[in-house]
Amino acid sequence: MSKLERLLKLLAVLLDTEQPLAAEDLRRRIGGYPDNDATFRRTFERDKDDLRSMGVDIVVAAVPETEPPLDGYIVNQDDYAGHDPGLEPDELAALHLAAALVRVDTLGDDAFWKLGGTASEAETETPSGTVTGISIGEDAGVLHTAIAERRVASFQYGGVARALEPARMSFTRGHWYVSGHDRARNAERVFRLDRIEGTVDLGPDDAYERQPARGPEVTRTWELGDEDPIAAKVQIDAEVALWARINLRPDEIDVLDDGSVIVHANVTNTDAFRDWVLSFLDNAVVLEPPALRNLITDWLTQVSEASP
Amino acid sequence: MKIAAKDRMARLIAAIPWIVAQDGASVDDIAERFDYPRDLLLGDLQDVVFFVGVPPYTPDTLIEVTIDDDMVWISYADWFSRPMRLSGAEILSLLAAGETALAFDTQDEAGALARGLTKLRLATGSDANTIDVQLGVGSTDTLPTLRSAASAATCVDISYYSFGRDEHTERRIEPVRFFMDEGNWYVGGYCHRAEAERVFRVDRIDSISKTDVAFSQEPTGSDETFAMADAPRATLHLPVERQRLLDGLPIDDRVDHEHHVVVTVPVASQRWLTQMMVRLGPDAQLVDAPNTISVDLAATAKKILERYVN
Repeated sequence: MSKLERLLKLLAVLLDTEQPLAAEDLRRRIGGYPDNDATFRRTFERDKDDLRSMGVDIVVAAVPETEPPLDGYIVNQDDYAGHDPGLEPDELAALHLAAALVRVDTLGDDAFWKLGGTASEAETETPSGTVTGISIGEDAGVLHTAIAERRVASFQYGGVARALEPARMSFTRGHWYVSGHDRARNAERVFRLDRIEGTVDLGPDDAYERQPARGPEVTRTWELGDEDPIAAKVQIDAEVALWARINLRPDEIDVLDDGSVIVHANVTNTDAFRDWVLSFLDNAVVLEPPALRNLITDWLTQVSEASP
Repeated sequence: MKIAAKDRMARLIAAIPWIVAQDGASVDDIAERFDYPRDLLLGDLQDVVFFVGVPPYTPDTLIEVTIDDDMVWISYADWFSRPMRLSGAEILSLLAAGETALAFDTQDEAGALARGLTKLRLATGSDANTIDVQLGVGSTDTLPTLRSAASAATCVDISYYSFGRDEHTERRIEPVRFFMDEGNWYVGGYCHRAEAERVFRVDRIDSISKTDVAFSQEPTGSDETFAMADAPRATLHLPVERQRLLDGLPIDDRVDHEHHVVVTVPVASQRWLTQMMVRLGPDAQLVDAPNTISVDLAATAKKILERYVN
């Protein structure tokens, strides 16, 4: 029996069964596995790995009425199959074109096959100016599932165990962020995905009501922190004021007659605040409060003393 | 073309529900849609799928494949009657690609992309608030103007702010290539001012106007200017706690030690390197700098400190 036939039969049997089946039982039902027990084991393990790598969720559970319990295998039909979005051919072609234009690293042909395949090579010809750069890691996929199914996501971040009710994924400035209600802090929080420590674990479905959440304020890096808020005023000279005019909201800045701007910042991350202010070198100065002025002057004194 | 069993399987379990739903389909159509070489497809349908089923493998528990002329019908494929669920990463990828394309292109006139995205969201439990792809596009009409100039092959005049050099310049450019990196859009093409290919960050274009002047150059298709191939290099030594400042830099070389990191990066300007060293702080060192650029941290610190003397 060919490997293709064996894999298809294995999947059909796992979907058809109503209770978990032991490896020996599957061997008998499917036929075509090697006679040698050790070779069968290896082949069976490889087949399971192949199905799992295709995204098939093979559940391992005890076979009923076995003592000691025997590992059995089953695939839940509702977990296997998705809801067909029912895309019209022009909608699918438009999505395919979008994927050709944007080139997301994790998006392979498989996703389009699951949606019914795409009709014509001509329609998928790469448009002028292909775009690259959106990369979606494993955590992004898991957290998106969490949002869609309203499952609490547990992970370590900044050395703290978080239990997040995720509500929104944002891709901005080259990074993915997830925001939502952090049960550990009992407050809304934003996390950058590549700074999550270790794995993301998901709880059961429908565990919370999804609330609208703010996206990350990546421009305002000084707001990305857990410190007690400090209101700061920073003056930026006219020569480099464009940055503030492009990136900040009108209610955050006052434009003075000489073209310089005063930025009103709500600082919860003082390190990031210092990094931002110093990026303007001597074209910016912290006006208030004294504590943040000292933060800058102390740092500069140290830099000066350390330089040869 | 040789395709591994696992990859043929992925095609088949997607193609079977599609053929069932179509109530029969032509071999050519299936081959094209699922990227399945015709002969291999026919062989797999006749010699493999036909024998797939569950015990006791009586006719009613086997998939029935009928091939007549050029048409294929499939029935009794109960286990494979629905396509496999899209993974979380696949859904997110589709939505992110779609959102990006919507922002980029004004050509979705029939609204097919927008409709497709809405259906995908509905079917997968997301909604309009759960994903948000923000792109560095600057003023909303800059990108469409560049795009239409690119397709008409006509020059545009831009006013451009160079952050590294801290200067505004007026340039005539021939936009040809668009790409996104680190969440920002870039346009590349011949620049009349530089008399060479250049890459510009779209959100730093202050103003843009169309011209009727046709392109003067054949595009070379080189993205090299983006990596600042001709820029001088500096090597920095910094404590690991400060490595977040490296985010988004085009790093040539990076060596991680237990407490510090050594990186080699292109240097846009003296100003850029100076502000980077000031921000990296007292525990960072400039190991190697281009001899065209001198960085005097003590003098720079003194100059900034003067602003704090009242």
